[in-house]
Amino acid sequence: MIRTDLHDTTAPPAPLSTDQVACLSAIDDALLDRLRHEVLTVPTDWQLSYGAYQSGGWATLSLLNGSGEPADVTITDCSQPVATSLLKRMPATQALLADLDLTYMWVRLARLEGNAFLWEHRDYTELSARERYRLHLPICTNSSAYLVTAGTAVHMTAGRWWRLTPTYAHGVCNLRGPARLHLIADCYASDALSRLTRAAELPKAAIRPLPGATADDLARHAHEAERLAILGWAEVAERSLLQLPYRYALPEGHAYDMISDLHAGLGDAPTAAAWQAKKTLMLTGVAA
Amino acid sequence: MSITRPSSALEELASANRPGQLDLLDRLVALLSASPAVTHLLVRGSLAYGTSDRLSDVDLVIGVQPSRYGAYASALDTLVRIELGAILPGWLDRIVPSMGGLGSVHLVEHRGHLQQLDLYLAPAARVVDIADLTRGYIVYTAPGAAAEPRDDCAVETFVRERLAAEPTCGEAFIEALVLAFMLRKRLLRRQYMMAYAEYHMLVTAVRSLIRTALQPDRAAYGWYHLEDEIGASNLGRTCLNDLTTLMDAPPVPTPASLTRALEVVVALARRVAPEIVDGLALDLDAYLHHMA
Repeated sequence: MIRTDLHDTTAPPAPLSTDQVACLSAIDDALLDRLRHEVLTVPTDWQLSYGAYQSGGWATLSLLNGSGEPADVTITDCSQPVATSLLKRMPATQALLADLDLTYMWVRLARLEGNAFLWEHRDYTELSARERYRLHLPICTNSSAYLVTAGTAVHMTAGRWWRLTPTYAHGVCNLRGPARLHLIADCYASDALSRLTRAAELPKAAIRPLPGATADDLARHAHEAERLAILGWAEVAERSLLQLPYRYALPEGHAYDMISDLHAGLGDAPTAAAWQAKKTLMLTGVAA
Repeated sequence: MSITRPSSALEELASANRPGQLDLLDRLVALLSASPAVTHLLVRGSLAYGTSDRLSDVDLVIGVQPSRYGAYASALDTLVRIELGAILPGWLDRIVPSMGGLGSVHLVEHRGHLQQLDLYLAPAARVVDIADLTRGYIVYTAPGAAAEPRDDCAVETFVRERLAAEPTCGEAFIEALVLAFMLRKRLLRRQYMMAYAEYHMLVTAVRSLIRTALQPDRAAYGWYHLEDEIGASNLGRTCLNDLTTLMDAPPVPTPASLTRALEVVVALARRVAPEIVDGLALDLDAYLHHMA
């Protein structure tokens, strides 16, 4: 039996604020078309990385980093990034980044296929304490591609800059496809960044508060997961629970707790403990 | 100088032109065979006959131990949605010939295109007969597959009850969407007789949607007194007008009339079952993206 009432004392997510995610200025439509053309035609050999954080289907290539190699995609602090060989073949993208005059740490292209997820996590936990933010420029997207944070789905519309503070717990999905393509720029705090983010807003059309899950909802999903596990698809059962934060506003880490409970209920204490350790890693960056 | 042997080069070329359905089939076989409830996997249809093309669907019969049939049937749609990313809930296939089990049709995004996946869940003991009947190709047999004693009674009851149940509004809407997808393929292949049959099914599915939404206690009455009973209100008359628009269209659709029919179906569904359409909003966006 899977228990679904273990974590009811956990606080629901705090309301979303522009500190967590915010919509910034738009770029010109003609420029967006040019960027889209480059992003759809130039990059090859997308790199799968951060495997523990994703379902599969999330791949990146670097545009600015410490080595100049596009396949070098594991971000680190980097105060003087250089253009990669990929960026040098994308003149419109290169000009856009130069014009902004930001203090870049690392800039990537990220491709998220349909039915792909970045599970609930926090970023930057492994980096220095220097103040930094993440900018997203959606280039190709669809209505089923959204960020989830604070119990809210945020669909980052194409052609506008978005600022994310990824030290808040968040996850990303592209439920139905087609592929979502974003430019992601990790930037250190600077005057140019302050200017860009001055008019931060959260457009109502882009945000959708997720419904809370009732005890019956959670029990139904727990039962469905248990049935999958008993039929031999334990990993599918886990993924079914990991997807719950994209449907419901859940307390932070609740999906991981449900998976841990699933395995505990099936008598697999080591796997249950491993999922508690994974929860800690994903949400704090601390390996158990 | 290295010389590439012709046979090796041809093998590479053949591999590069491998039908995308085989990749999907590989994934399916790996996924489904992981369950101890699965006894056999049988490929049927054009992939088994060697007559497939790039539009061909993937037809797979899944043999399941009778004791787990109900649980498996209840989990299958979730499995396909989560692992294969089906863009719509599966449709209970009412076209497939009866072979002792349940069929379902799923639309899966694969390599940027929608791929139709026809699954048939059969009790294990029926699979060999189905292979003979369909000239299918068994691609997986579990060790000890025939170990469980034959007990089809509970499965028969389960299957009969599932097939006897009137479709809900959501199921009728999904049926119309899936049929529109299948029709598009028929038109591309110039299979006009199949297109005629499936267009009639589409119109019937829309009638079911109207009747189930507006007169649920008489959903089983089909076309009987539809004008009188549904046409009693403005909403009902508007729906009947939509239905008439579909009936007045060419019985073998053209690409343009099919596009128009799909617009009518979606608008009608929004009118009679807005909560269903809202719940499927993201699915519908993806579906319409691929149908555009």
